Amino acid sequence: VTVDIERELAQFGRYLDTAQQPIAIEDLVGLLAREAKPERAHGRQDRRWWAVAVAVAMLLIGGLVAIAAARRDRPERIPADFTPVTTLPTATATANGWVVFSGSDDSDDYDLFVVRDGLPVDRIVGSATDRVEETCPAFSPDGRRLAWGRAARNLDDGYSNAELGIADLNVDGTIARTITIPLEGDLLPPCANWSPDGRWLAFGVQSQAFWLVDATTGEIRQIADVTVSDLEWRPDGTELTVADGGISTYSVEGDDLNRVGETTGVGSVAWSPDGSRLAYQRVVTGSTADMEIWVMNADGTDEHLVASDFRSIHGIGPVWSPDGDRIVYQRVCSMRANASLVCREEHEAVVLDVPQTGFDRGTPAAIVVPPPETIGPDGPLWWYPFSVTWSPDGTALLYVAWSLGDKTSDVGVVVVPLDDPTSPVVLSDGIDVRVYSEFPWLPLQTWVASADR
Amino acid sequence: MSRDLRRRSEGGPITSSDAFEDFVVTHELRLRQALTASLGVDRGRDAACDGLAYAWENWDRVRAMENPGGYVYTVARERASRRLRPVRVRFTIAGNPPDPWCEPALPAALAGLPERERVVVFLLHCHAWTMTEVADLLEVSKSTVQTHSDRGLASLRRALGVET
Repeated sequence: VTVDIERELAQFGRYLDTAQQPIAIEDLVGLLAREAKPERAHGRQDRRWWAVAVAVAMLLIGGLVAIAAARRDRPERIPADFTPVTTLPTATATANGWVVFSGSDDSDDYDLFVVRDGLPVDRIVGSATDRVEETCPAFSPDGRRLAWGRAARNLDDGYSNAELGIADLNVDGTIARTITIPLEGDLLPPCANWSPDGRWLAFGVQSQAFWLVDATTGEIRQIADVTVSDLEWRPDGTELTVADGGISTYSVEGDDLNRVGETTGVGSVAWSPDGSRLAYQRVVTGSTADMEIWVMNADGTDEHLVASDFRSIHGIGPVWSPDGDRIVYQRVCSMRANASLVCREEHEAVVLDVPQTGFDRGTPAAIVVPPPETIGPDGPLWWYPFSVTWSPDGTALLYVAWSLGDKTSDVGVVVVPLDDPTSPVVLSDGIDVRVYSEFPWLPLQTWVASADR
Repeated sequence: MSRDLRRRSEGGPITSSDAFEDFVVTHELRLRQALTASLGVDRGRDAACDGLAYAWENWDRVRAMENPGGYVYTVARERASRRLRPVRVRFTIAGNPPDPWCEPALPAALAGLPERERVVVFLLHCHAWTMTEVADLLEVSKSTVQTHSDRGLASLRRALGVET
């Protein structure tokens, strides 16, 4: 069949522009009139409403005064021109194991691939000919199992038959056994977070709910009517911490969700590896241009600001280093690496020193990791991260990133050694790495500590 | 504020709604196109109406924004997602005969794309938006827009049995 698809699309666009009625001011007037509340006829009822309004206003003013008083105790915002003074450990030959990511080589759906430095990329889930999307791979805490989301992707219905895949891994890299847990409804492929004991998987498949699956029994729980932007297991495994505008906790045993504190604008949460501290990223004014990161003790005390006044579009919020002494986060960089143009959405990573002992609540020392550079076929390429995680030994950062050069662009999985960020290693040559996820709580890549996968 | 808007629409005195009317003139078509791409023909138009009404009710804040069109798109899409049951997107116009202008299977194939690919393909190729304009709307990079476009077009070609 010979059809010029782009010409057909342009024709269809012109048809829609012609057939669809424009929206006029009068349409909006009608809409606003329908939504306006009818005016009250009786003054007595009006007075009653005024009394309620005055009471509510007084409560609000009291709350604002209390919040203002609380904020006075917080440290000043971090100045934009602070000087990094910290040092970072040197990369060594370590037991950093395999990196798993979702990507596509010659097919139009995503499969799962593993790679490690010096070895070729290997597809471990999916095939070049199936039409099943395999995405959001996550190694279990012990590195012996892999969970991921999958769904058939067809042109008539979008996604269908969404499932959670769980595989046992052999030490030689093969998959020993796979189980799939089907989810009802036409849902997106799930992006799951393992509980620390490897029993539960928490995930979302749409924005208004989250799910838990017991990987040992297949029990499925749905927690509905909550808009989730991040899910993090408390390291002791008893609770799931949920960013839902504020911070809430879900008790696995009690099967209940409760709001903790009164913080607003929270989009991401992260527990330190030992569970002693919680970091969260919040939007101050409702704009991605005005973000903050706070750290507090597990019991909610000693809350302090560690980063502020930054803009971020991509990323998964703060990510603790394996030793719990540092946090990496992403922000839009101030200048592009390859030109004297203002940076729009190109990100850089920032590593904050927030050691468990000796951190005095002041401005933490920070290292800005500039976009690493590699040489592409048409000159230099600078890599800007979509999501950043740590190597298991804490000596390097792992990016899923996009690159820009003067003539070309690319996407890839990139290792950035912290002792020499100018010598990055691109692990994923030839693979169209998945760089976008509907679920921001899970990194697009995970790096397992074991030497074997 | 809504009284101002009503008076203005009825030929009343000039108020701050003039700036809003300029905003509607400038952004209505593009907002409707973008929301149609996300939600389908009928729901997209309804969402655009809702978004513009929201913009009017919050006009002092919206007018000061760097990218008010993108903001209203995001708000309208979110409000529609919260309000409406998720159903398959439709690109047919009620009461109109089947579209004689293009390949008959195209609207259904387009509707079947994942939302990001559909929005990108729809805006780039049906309505001739630039990569930068789509990237600005979706707050993604141009390379991401290119990726979605390539994948969406490949899916459409396969669905329609078109040789590449």
